[in-house]
Amino acid sequence: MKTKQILIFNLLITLLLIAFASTSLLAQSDLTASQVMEKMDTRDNGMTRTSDITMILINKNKQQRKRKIKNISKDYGKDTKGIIFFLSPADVKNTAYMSFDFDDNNKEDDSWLYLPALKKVKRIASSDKSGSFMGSDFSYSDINGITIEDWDYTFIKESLLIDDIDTWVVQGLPKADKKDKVLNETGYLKSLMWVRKDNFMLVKAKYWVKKGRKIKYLKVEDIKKTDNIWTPYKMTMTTTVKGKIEHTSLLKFSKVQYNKEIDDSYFTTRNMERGL
Amino acid sequence: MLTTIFKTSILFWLIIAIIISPTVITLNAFADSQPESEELQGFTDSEFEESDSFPEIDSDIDLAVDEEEETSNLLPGLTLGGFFKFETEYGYNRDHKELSKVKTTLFLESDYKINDQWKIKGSANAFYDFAYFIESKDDFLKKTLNDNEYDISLKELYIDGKLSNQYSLKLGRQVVVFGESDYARILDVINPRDLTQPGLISVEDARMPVSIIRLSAGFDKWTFDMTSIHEHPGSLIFGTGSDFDYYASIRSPGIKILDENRPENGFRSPGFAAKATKSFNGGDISFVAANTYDDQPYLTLNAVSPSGITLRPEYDKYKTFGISGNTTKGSSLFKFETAFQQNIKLMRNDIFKQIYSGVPMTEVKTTKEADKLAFLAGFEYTGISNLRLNFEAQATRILDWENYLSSEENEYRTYLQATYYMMNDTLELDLLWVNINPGHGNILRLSSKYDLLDGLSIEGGIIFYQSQHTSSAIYSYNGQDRFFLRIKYSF
Repeated sequence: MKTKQILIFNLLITLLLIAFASTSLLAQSDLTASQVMEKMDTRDNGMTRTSDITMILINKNKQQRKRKIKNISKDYGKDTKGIIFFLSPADVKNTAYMSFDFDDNNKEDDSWLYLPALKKVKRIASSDKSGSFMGSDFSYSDINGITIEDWDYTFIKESLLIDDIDTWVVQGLPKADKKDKVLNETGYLKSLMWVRKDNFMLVKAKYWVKKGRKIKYLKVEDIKKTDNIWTPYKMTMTTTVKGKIEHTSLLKFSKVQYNKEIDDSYFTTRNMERGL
Repeated sequence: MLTTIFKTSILFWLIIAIIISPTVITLNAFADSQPESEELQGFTDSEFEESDSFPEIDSDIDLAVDEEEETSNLLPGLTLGGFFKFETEYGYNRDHKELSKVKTTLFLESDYKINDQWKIKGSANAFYDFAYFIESKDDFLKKTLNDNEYDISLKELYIDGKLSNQYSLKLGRQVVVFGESDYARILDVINPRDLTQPGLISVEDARMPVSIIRLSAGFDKWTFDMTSIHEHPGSLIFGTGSDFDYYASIRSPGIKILDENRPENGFRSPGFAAKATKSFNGGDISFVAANTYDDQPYLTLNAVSPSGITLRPEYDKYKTFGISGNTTKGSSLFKFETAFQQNIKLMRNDIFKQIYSGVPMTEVKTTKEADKLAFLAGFEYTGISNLRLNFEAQATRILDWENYLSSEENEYRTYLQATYYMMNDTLELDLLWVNINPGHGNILRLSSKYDLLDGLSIEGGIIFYQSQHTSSAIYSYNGQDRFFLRIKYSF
């Protein structure tokens, strides 16, 4: 009798799991392109994040420059506070950049820069996020994320295998009434994104940059779970003009930690001066 | 000759601005007006292809990354660094053309992190200027050589700690900056400056560290800074024999200027400065109060003899009460500073007149204590890709001004700096223009900086000084135009 009960219980559990999996798969297959992008945007990335980033900048003559930074950020509801300390090279060491990113579109983000040579923290205007992040191929909007509500998304292909992993291929075009805002904030006319179906991670992207008619290619690799959160450990952005590579930037992440306790007093101008 | 070069340069930059601005605006407007389908034309690849191959990094490029923290092997938490700098200047626009600077500087700094709350930082530098060796030392006064030929000095040395999440303490030689301006000194009253070469001082040398006790506190949107200043060296100025002699405008055969009489360092006569800042979304506002030593000297009458008079530079305190603030709008940052400066000692121009009229030496007045009102407004604009514009306009008014004062009743200064970044920020083109009281004088600096490698940069440029007004602060610098070159290796 007991064995039978156990068998029935197991069968029920199995049926429930199958039903749940089917529902999930069905739900996933029913997602619109906008919903895919929303899920990608709202993916769990912890309440706090700390990481070391090595940035390798490669010009068309294959000359390399390396920058090391420490990145610390914390979520406050939908708003985020973040601080970046430059660790090397020596001429920019101890430079710090702090930003408060607000979800409310009516509030402009707050940004400050500490330059150790000046010994002074300066507030900076931060609306132009299309500018290069530290001389790299990544723009500030690539790093901080875009406002997905400003874009229209459509599937170009609903299933495409990338390294044996199923992806959606999504095309993004700025909404007609947001075109100027999008251009101002990102510099992009159009984007094409490859999003993994199993974890909503972006694995490849292509961006059409208005200024200079450039195309930027993003590759996200070495994606693995850290503290149970899917994390990319390597990102490469390449800028091309008329099919020729102009410049490449590689970001390598290390010492990634999520949900570590970070006091609010960490995100102050005084702390930017103090350094790490 | 000088005016011609200056005018030609201004004209050149104006033409560039006149040609480039409408072209950029027109091209942007044209691009913005294009329909989307046309906008995407001209890209070599604008369609999706399943076999789309992404660019790959050449396999022969070494992408190895050292993930360890760069600390000393000797002591965990200790970091060492610094730079070696070579600077040279060539004064081309005077009778005796020469290399006026061939200076090598070694700067060393070290950080030691005691724990997560406390750290110690120290830095020092040493320099030797070969110009005095090349040009023959006989041409210079001993004091000039002592001050400028070589030096070894301690820069910063402080301990910085967190007392709690709200309070922090920083003790020792340090730099504390108040105010919004990048150029003017209205509320930036704590550290003296290097005034030896207007427009040519490297940014890291602009402010001189002094001994300060700084207590900071932060509560929600408010931050408070309280400082007591215990070292008063005065700003660094060049003396007799230098191209940029600070007293050049008052030197004459009948006037002898002695060495400075500097205020006593220590705890007997400290300066004080405090600031309260409220930060809000899109801006900050600060309230400043200070009682600090003026970083520039006034002159007292030391002796009168048949051959002339002897003056001695002295320093005194003055009070500052001010407000500064900033706000951002789009790609612009607007900033302001305003201050009431009380009891500043200002030089008189009637010293000889008093002596000749029979006033006893002990009653001859070389200065008058006066109050000043100062105001500065400016903006920074970053709305054009890779370009940063910084503009500031400053006005100062002496209250109770008298005809016998050397300074003018109203003084105006404007500063404009434009920096253009190219080649993924490896090349920087920079223009700095300073205008002193309309018609009184201009300083124009054009320079470019290129990062050869990580930590290795080369900077070159030209600076012009132009003034036809004898009372201008830079009148005596006419003819000191020069080319300059700097090579810096940071490690």
